[in-house]
Amino acid sequence: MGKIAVVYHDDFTKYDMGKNHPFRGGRYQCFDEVFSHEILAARKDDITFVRPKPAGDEAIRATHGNDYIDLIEALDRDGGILTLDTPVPQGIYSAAKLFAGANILAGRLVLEGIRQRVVVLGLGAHHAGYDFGGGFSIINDIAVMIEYLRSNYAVKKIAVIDFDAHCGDGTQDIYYFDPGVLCIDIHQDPLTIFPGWGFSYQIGLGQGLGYTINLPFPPGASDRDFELAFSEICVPVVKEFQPEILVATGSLDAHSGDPMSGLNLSSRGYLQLMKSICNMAEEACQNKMVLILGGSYNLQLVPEVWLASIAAVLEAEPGDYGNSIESRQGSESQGEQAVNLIGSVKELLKTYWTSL
Amino acid sequence: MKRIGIVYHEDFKKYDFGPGHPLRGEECMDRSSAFDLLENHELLKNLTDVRFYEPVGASEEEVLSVHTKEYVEFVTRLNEAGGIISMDTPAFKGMYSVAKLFTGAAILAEKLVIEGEVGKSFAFTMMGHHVGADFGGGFGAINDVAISIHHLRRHYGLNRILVVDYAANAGHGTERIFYDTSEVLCIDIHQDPLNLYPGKGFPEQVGRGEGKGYTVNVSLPPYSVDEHYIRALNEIVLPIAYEYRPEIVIAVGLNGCHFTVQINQLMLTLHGLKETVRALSTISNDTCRGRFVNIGGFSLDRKLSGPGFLATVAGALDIEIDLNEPYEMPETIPDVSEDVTEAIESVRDIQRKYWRCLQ
Repeated sequence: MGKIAVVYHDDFTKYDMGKNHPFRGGRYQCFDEVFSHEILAARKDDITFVRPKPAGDEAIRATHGNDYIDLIEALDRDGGILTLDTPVPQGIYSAAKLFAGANILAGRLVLEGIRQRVVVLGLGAHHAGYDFGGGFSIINDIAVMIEYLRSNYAVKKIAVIDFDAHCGDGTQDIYYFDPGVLCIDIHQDPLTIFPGWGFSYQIGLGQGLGYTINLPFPPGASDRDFELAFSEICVPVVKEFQPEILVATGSLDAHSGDPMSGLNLSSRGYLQLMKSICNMAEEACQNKMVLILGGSYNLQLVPEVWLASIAAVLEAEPGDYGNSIESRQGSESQGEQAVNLIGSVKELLKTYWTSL
Repeated sequence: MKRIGIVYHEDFKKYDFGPGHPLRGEECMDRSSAFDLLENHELLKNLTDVRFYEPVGASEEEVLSVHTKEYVEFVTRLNEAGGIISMDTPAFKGMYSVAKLFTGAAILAEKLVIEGEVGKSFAFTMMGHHVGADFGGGFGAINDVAISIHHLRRHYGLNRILVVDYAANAGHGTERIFYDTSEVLCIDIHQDPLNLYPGKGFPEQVGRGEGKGYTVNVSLPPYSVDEHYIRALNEIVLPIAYEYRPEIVIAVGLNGCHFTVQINQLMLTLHGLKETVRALSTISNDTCRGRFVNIGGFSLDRKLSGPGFLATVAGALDIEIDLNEPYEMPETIPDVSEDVTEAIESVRDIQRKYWRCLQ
């Protein structure tokens, strides 16, 4: 892989939900540590850093209901609460718009052929739906990018791979009836974790039937299970869908060292996951991909997983990825549960996808 | 003499989540606790002809008119084996069968009214208003309200159906199913979802596409009392409903806003519940020849069941009766009048874009 771009802004740290809230801006402070590491330093000529501008009102209102955005603006002015888990401190909306703008910039770089693969060290506020927020999400930066790209470029088909430990219910809400956006979502079983959405039988509605795919893994699922999901479901379906661009997104909370989920990915698992995503982009859409990589609730994890991920996107020589936490591999029965899940998802979706 | 229909089946009692759960079949669905008071009420006896009807279960085809094949396969499996639908909703064996019977009851109650068999009807069910096209929860497996509405549209060709959900929790499943259509107006009064399940039903949630403005969420603060509910009805619900000119009014709710109910913080009395139903029924008298159906009407507590249902029926028929509260109203309730004013204002601000009457 040749040159990539990395989108980042110092003001990302301003997406901060306050003291005693799990979502703090500090997760965005390891930028120098990551890029001064020898693996990336050796490739510094191949990495272009770009600074985004905030997304415009038009793209945001093309994504979300007007009445909802009016509410967000009012909350942002005075400070307030969107849902029980999502405070809106004064001014945070500007940071949210900056994340959406970062994704838009990434998408433009790819669709204008300036770079093939672009990484946003960003947010992925996938719990914000058409007219609701929550789960630390205020606006859905992923969807704002998609709406921008669809209205400014002639893209008809976009595939989203959401590898966050929590289901991207907001993104799914926005595209549930839309066959133009394929949402594949790997996450922890929503019976055991927020947002209680993303069961395997939830596959879209109306014209969108079959264009939402949920892979809810039981707690404990690890590297091997994610690999299986990729090879058995994600790769064949994305190839069949033939997207014009691939968007991969998630924070690092499926990591065994992250306290916010029961999933058990290792840092090497993330490396493998990113490789799988890149291979998929290569096979399905001439490498056109945007990776929106969020942080972790365990700040120690962020540099090592970002490093591994960017190295994978660059196809850098694997070296020492830092003090990686070894994966707790699932037991045999865990493997069986994963196999059963994948089998049942295939069964549910085979009428919509011949590759299954 | 006004003829009313009550749709009930003994098997409703099988909708039972077991000890410790707020929804117990014997408690909520017992025929005698629910209807004896009404049947023996001197005044009502003279003024009304109360008829009971027994439903049959809705067909698979009817269920599939709203729910996806994949979701129905899932609940069918749970019906045989039991399991879990969502974190708050365990599935007992046979749950789907009873839910289909509820759905059949809603369909029948609407048929009785549309075909003029009775003036007003009451489907005495535990409505599944939290259930969407492909998700369950909130103690529901399928959405009987939505399926019956779909039936009204398809079978009778109705295209202006008013649903007013007055349960304490927002009927987000129903809203979501009809989110993009103007043919069903969903108005929902409930406790602020910021502090109550299902966390959906905020005023800025107004529908999408063709359906913009055809979802109206009125969320009231905890400790709202009768007069607050009535204000919300008078200032928001009634004007919009009259502007919409529905072909039928479907009221959805139970006595769950009553001050004794522990799982929310609304503080209505039986009088407030009666006035709520009376207002909704009046809409039907003024706009659609009195076609009024109430889905729900039950109580979580057997002692409340009889007076609660009596209040519902008396409200629907606009009959003044004495209602004996089985419990004492707490004396100290925080005064939330100002918050209520603010809540109503915010709904008006949002909805005036869609409804002339609020401008």
